[in-house]
Amino acid sequence: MFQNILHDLGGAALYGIVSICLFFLVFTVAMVWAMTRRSTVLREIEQLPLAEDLSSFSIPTSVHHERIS
Amino acid sequence: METFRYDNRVVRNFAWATLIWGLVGMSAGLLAAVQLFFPDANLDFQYITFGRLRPLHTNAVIFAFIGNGMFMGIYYSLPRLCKAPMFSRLLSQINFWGWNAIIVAAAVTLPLGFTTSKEYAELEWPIDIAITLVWVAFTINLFGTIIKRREKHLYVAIWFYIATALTVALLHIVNSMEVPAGWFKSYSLYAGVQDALVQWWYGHNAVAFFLTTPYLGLMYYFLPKAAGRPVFSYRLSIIHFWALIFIYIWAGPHHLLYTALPDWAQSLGMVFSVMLIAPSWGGMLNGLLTLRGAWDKVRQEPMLKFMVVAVTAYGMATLEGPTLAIKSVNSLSHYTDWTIAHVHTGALGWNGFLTFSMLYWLIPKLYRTSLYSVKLANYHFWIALTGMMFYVVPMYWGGITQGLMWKQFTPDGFLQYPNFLETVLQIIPLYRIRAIGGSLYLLGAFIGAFNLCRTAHAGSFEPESEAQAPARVKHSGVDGKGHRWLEARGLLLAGLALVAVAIGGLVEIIPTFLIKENVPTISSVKPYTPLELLGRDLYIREGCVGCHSQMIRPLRSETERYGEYSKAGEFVYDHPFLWGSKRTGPDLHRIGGKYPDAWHYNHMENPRSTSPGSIMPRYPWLLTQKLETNCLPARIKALRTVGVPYPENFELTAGKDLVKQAKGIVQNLESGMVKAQPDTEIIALIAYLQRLGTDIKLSKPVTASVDGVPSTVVVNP
Repeated sequence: MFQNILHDLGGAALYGIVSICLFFLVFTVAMVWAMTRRSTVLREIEQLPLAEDLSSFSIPTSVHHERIS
Repeated sequence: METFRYDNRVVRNFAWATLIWGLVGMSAGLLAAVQLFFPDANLDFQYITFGRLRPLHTNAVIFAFIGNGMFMGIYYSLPRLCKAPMFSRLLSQINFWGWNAIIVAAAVTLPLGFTTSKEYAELEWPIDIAITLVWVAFTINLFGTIIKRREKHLYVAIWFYIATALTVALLHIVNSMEVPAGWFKSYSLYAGVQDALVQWWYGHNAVAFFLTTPYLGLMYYFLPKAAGRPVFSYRLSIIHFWALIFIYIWAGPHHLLYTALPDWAQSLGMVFSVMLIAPSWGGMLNGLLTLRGAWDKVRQEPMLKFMVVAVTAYGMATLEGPTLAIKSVNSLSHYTDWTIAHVHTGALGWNGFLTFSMLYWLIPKLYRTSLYSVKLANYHFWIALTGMMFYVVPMYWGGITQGLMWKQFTPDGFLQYPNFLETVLQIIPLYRIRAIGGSLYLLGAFIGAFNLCRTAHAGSFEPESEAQAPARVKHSGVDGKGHRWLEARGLLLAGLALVAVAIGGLVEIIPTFLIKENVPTISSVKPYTPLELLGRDLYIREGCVGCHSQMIRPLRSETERYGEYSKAGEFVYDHPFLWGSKRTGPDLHRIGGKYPDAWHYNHMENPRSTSPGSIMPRYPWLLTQKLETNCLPARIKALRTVGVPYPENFELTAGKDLVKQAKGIVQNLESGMVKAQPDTEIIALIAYLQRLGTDIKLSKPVTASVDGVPSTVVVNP
C-alpha cells in the first residue's frame, strides 16, 4: 500500500525517501537531546525571560494589572 | 556582580516605526482592496494602480510593519536574555536607519514601477545590496551580543533569532542574483522553471524565517513574561525549533503544484508541507499551554488577549497551509482568493496581533507608565478581531466559489462558465465585505496608535535601563552534555542550524539546475524580439503578474479554458519567470493570437469597453507615453549575460528590428479602426501579449527575422 502511495507521488522513490530519512534523523537527535537534559538545568533556563531590569520596572503595564495585584 | 545598561532608544525607534509603517501598509492594502470592486479608485493615476500598489502593500506590511516589529522585539529581548547590552550601538543605529531608509526607497521605487516582479523580492538591485548590508550589520550585532553575553545558557528565543538571521541572508542573496541593466532594472540570473523554484524557495521561506521564526522567538520571550510563568515545556521548544527549521525549508515547491516544475520536486514540497503540521502545532500548543492556570490574566490584560489570538491564528494558518499544499486541494485553491485568506490569517492574526501585543507591553515599560486606556485597548482588540473575521471569511467563500466555478463542466462536457469574467462578478460582493473587514482592522490599529501615543505622552522615556549580573564564567567544555553543551556555543548552534536549513534547499534546487531532463527544451521556443522584450518589461513594470498567471496547469478545466498546458521548455528565456500566483484575471500564457491587436488596444484603454463589468484598471497612459528605447542595448547585453542567445552585436540592429515590428502592429491596428503612434508603450505591450505562448504552435521558426532572431507572430485581426 505504502509503495503505491509513494509511487503515485512521482519521483518520490529516491528524493522523497532520502529526505524523510534525513528528517527522522534530525527529529530523533533533537528528541534525544531534549529528553536527556537535566530538569534542574531546564528550570534554570526557563526562568530567563522572567528576569526584570533593575530600574523602573516595578510599574505595572496596565491599570487593571495594578488592581488585581 | 557587574552593572550595565540596556539601550532602550533603538527599541523605542523600532516601536514607533512599526506603528507608523503598519498604518501605511494597511492603508495601502485597503486602497488595493477597494480597487478590486471599484477600479476607478486609482483615479487613473498610474502610481497607485493595483499592479504597483499590491507590492507596495505586501512589502510595507512584511518588511516595514512586521520587520520593524521583529527588530523591536529582538532589540528588547536579546540583551536581556544575554544579560549584556547590544554588541554595538552604532550597528543598532545602522540597523534602524538603514532598514527604514530601505523602506522609504521601496515606497518610492515600487509606485514608479521599478520592480523585479518576484513576489516579496520586488525591490531592484541597488536596494537589494542595501538590504544585504543592513542585514549583515544586524547579524554582527546579534552574534556579537551572544558572544559577549553574561548568561551561560542561550534561551530558545535566541535560537530562533539565529535561524532568522542566517536563513534570511541565505534566501535573500540566492534569490536576488540578478544582472543589472541600468540603475533600476535587472534581470534574474535564473530563467523559467529554475527562477520559479528559487523564487518560491525564497518566498515560502521568507514566510518561514521572516514572519514565523523571529515571531516564535518573540512568543517564547513575551508570552512567559506576560503570563508571569515559564514556558509550558522547554523540552518541547527544543524539538519545536529543530523540527521546524529543518522541515520548513523543503516546503517551498508547494507554491508550484501542477506547474511545469519537475514532479519529484512538487512531491517533496507536498510531503514536507504536511509534515510541517507537527512542529507548528507543537509550538502553538506550547504557547497556549503556557497560559494554563493564568487564563484569568487573559481576561484582564489586553496584551495577553492579543497574544492568545496571535497564537491561535498561528495554529489555524499552520493547519491550513499544509492542507492547501496537498495537490488535490491545491488544484482547487491555487490562483484563488483562498490563498489571500490564508496569508491574511497569518499576517493579520499571527503577526499583527503579536506585534500589537508587544507594543501594548513595551510602550508602557519604555515610558515608565501604565497604559493610557485599557478600555481602548479592548476596543482595539474586538474591532481588529471582527475585522479579521470579516476579511478572511469572505475570502474563503469567494476563493472556493470561484475555484469551483472554474472547474464546473456541463453534462455535455463543456465549461459551465466559459467566460472568466462571470466567475469574477460572482464574488464582487465578497470583495466589498473584505474591504469592510480591512477597514475595521485598520480602524483598530488607529485606536491602538492613539492609545499608545497617549501612553507615551503621559510617561517619561527611559533611554537606558540598568541591570546587574555576575560576569560569565568561561566554559571548560566538560561541564555539560548534549544540547546544553551545544547551546552554550552560539556559533556552533548557528552552524548546525544553517546546515539544517541548507540541506532542503540544496536537494531541491541543485538537481533542477544540473539535470537537463528536468527542463526539456523545445526547439521552436526563441528569445523575445526587442519590441516584445520592452513590452515584457512594461508588463513587469505595471505589475500585471499580480493578477494574471502565465501557467496553465495540466488539468482539463484549464486546458479547456486557456489552451495547451504550459511546458517547462517554453520558459527558458523568461528572466524573470512570470507565472504569477493569483488569477484575479484570466491566465495569459496562451493569449497570443487569441484576440486582434485592436482588441488589446481598446481593452487597455478601457477594459470595460471590451469586457463589461471587468475590474481591471484602465491603462490610458500606455497609449500616450513614449516607449523608452535607449535602454535596449543595455537590456539585451544583460540578458545575453544571463544566457539568452542573442547573436553577437544584435543590440546594434535591435532598434531597426523594433521599428519594423512596431510598424506592423500599427498597420494591424489601423485595420481594426484604431489610430496609434508606433512609438508608444502600448505597441510594445501588444507585441509581447501577441507573442505569449505561441512558440510551440510553430512547426518551424517564423522566417521573417533579423539576424536570426525571429520577429513576432503577427496575428491578423
